[in-house]
Amino acid sequence: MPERDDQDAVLCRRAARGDRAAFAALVAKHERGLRGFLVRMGAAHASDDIAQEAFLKVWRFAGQYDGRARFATWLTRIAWRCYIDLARRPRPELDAGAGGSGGDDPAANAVVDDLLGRLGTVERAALILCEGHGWSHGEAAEMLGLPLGTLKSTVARAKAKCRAMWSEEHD
Amino acid sequence: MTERDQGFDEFLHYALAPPEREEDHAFVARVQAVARMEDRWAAERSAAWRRFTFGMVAIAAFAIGLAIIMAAPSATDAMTGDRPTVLAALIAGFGAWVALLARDSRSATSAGLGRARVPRR
Repeated sequence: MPERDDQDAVLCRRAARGDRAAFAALVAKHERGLRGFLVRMGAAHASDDIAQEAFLKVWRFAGQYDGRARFATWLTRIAWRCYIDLARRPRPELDAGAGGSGGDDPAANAVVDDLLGRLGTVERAALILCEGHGWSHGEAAEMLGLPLGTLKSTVARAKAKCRAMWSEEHD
Repeated sequence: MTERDQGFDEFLHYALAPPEREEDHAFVARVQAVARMEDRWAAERSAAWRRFTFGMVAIAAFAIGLAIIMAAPSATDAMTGDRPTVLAALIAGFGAWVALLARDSRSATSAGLGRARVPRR
């Protein structure tokens, strides 16, 4: 599970007061995870734009971060909404359904992209956040705006689907 | 859990993990540049709205004063008759309007604002 981020709360408060260096520190710390998530979500071409939009919203509304959730949870939730807004528009880079190549291993990327491409959008997001990025079910539920029970069943279903497909290909 | 299930779990965790790399300074710089531009645009929008509001008030004052003068029986009545306050308001409104116009042209010249483009990676 990602480390605690009390420091992020401090940086966010400073960013809310207009401290650009604090904002830059937040971007530097969280861009890798956020962009990795978005690339895996199939937004390979738009991932940087979505991440940028999410960070700009953080800059504009940093004062609204209340520190109850982790900063990364709040950020990912913002990015998820940006992603959903974009996915509702007819944009080819999000229509394909398959994930983008987010990792360093081309062979693993090809396999996992194929698996993710056969999942629904929410299933894919839930699986990436919980299985790949190490978020708890509760945090992932908050990020995706889902009830905890729904999130758990979504992850279980997505994982079962992937396991079945993976087993077929390895038999 | 079977060995195969364990292998699958390990694969999934490995394949879905965020890529291991150093922070992307170019992306950080890009986001910062866009944030700076947003701040500039917001300030520019705010200033434009303020100018517009003051301009409208000045024009309204001018128009009302003009309408009252036009409604007077004669221009001489308006200048010397029983409406000295109207005349004063008219002059003040006109003065404010001229002052605002002058300030607008000065600030537009000095700011030289234009939408700069942020280089993309």
